[in-house]
Amino acid sequence: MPYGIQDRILRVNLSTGAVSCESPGELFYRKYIGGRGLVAYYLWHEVPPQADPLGPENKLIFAVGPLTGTSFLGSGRNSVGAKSPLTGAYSDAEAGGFWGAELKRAGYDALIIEGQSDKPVYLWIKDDQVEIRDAAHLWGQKTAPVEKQIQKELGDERIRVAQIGPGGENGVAFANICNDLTHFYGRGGLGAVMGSKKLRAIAIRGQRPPVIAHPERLQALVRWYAENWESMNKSSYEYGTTSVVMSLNASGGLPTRNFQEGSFEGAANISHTAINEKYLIDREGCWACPIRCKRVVQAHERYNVDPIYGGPEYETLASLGSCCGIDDLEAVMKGNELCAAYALDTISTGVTIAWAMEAYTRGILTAEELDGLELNFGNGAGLVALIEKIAYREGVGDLLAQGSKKAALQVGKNSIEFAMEGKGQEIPMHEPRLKSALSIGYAVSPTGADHCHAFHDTTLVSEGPFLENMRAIGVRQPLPLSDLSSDKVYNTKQITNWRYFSNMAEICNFMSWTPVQLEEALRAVTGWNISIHEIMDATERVATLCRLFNLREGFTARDDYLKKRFFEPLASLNGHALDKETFDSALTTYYEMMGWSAEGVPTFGTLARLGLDKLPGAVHV
Amino acid sequence: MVENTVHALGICQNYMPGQQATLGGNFASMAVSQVAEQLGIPAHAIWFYAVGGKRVPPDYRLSPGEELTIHSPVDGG
Ligand code: SF4
Repeated sequence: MPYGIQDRILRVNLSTGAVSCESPGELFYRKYIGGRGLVAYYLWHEVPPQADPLGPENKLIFAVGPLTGTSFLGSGRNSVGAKSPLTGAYSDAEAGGFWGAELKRAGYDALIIEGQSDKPVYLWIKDDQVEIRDAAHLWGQKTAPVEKQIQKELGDERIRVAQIGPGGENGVAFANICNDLTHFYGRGGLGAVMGSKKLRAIAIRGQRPPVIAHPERLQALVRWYAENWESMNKSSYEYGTTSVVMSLNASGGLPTRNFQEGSFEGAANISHTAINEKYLIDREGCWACPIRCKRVVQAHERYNVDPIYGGPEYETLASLGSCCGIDDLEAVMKGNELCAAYALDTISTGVTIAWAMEAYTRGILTAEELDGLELNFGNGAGLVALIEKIAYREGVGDLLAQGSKKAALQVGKNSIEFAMEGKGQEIPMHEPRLKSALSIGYAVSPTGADHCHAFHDTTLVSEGPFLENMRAIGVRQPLPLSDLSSDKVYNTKQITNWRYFSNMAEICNFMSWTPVQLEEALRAVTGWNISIHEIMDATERVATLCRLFNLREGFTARDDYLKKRFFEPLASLNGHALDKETFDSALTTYYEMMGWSAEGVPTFGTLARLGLDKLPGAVHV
Repeated sequence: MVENTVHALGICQNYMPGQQATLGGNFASMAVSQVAEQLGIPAHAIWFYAVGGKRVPPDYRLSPGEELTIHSPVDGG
């Protein structure tokens, strides 16, 4: 009997109603581990080239990792993936909460949704019992009433629900999927894929926890963290990620007015202290985590902000706030609430609206074309109005619902120059002119620009315990933020691959676990004699598989670009700009280190080394 | 005597007395790096210092009443 994993993949075909279950065997998991690894494997093998992301051939895959649903702290995560309607590329997204643990405890490592229903449905999974149920009465509603209704009709408040909102129903290209209302599989438009399948929600209750190989070894790790978390994560409990606003603002790298500036005069108004002093009413957390870093906010003055939808984290404060030049915290919190209720990615929403604001400022879009909105930077009421329009694709919302790249290509007038995206996915709230390794991370991420997949240089600028711990995965020395030498590229490659592991084993990046502790956790849970070396090989295998998927879809090295704006001086960083030649050279070095050609295509030797050389249709040089 | 206020963000807070995010005290004429050292915040936990919201070098000396913020490295998650 395998330990840690369930060795069961559940398949539901919404075109035919067929439900089946298969066991790929323990060696498969050893090769792909879980989460993102399973998503990449099944997307490569089962989604035909050039499939329409919103058509029946695309598959939506929910996958947990070997740690998900165990008592290991921070193990409440899981991945979701599909071919993205936003980018046309490989896509996956991860979230915490409790839903992933429930899927694992229902006895599954992955759930593959195939086909397309012709009417709205939801799935009800209770261990071996899998039902496709009518969801006509749920369609069109915000997320909170839908969760309540499902729990009511199934007669159990402990049921966990992952769902889309009106954004996904209406095919918004950056619609997301949420679980427990406040945890989001944010990026890539996976909500639109689920909406195209007419699948409103997946409700789960599971009572078959995984069997742990060495419970006493796992418990020793759990006990250590439980006894020490307050000395490591106090700030996460108090402020979540919201204090990052003030840090990045003071550093000169807070994305402001569509990345035209790096410091925001209104930063204090959208800061951690502004939230805690007036609006914070509670904190929430995830499965097996004592930290409870999630915000719960409420407001009653200019806007009513409903605490049921939680509260904004850093990425949202910056994307709906400084990036749009908005320092009206209630408008930002209302925007966050609406994005949650309609299930829209806040980063893409904010950056797309910031693009529209810049287009208005430059006279490219008029108030008339914006449904009468005077869309200057700083217009909080305009932001709130546009989120509603995007969710329902009303008026100009239909243009913006495509994301900034497609909207800019439709509008023309060179507005693509300031659509701040990578592979069509909006740039997250970390400035690559400040953290130079992000330039490579944003360019090579198979999903398009993503901060969770990338290495943030700030963590490795000096010697200390973090660097010492990261030496276990090959990181060698501290380097300055602006460095893009081959040494920095090597650190970037190693940390980026390590971040794949977080999303394969499924562990929260905010936890302070070291690589050696995570290796021990994986060994304790699965009983495998696995090493960090084998883990790093698995991460590279999955990274290369994602690359192969995109190459098959027609992506080339030309798609690993960084927008021109990042090669222009940023005043708040004393005029610092990325150097194009240095960036190009670092990108080529990254390819070489990954065993890819100068065109970004894996060599045959790389595929053979990773055990991918027998994949039918895999390109190589 | 007008006190100084010190804010410690991110992991810097973990090292503050009582793990407080903010504390007051008379640190006038001390270099900001000395303030961090006196409070027990190790160098590796510090990204940079800011006074009144503006970045300052480690040898910047505080004046009475100034607000110091000690920023820790910012990751993304
Ligand atoms: S640190 Fe925050 S996001 Fe991570 S598991 Fe804990 S509560 Fe969830």
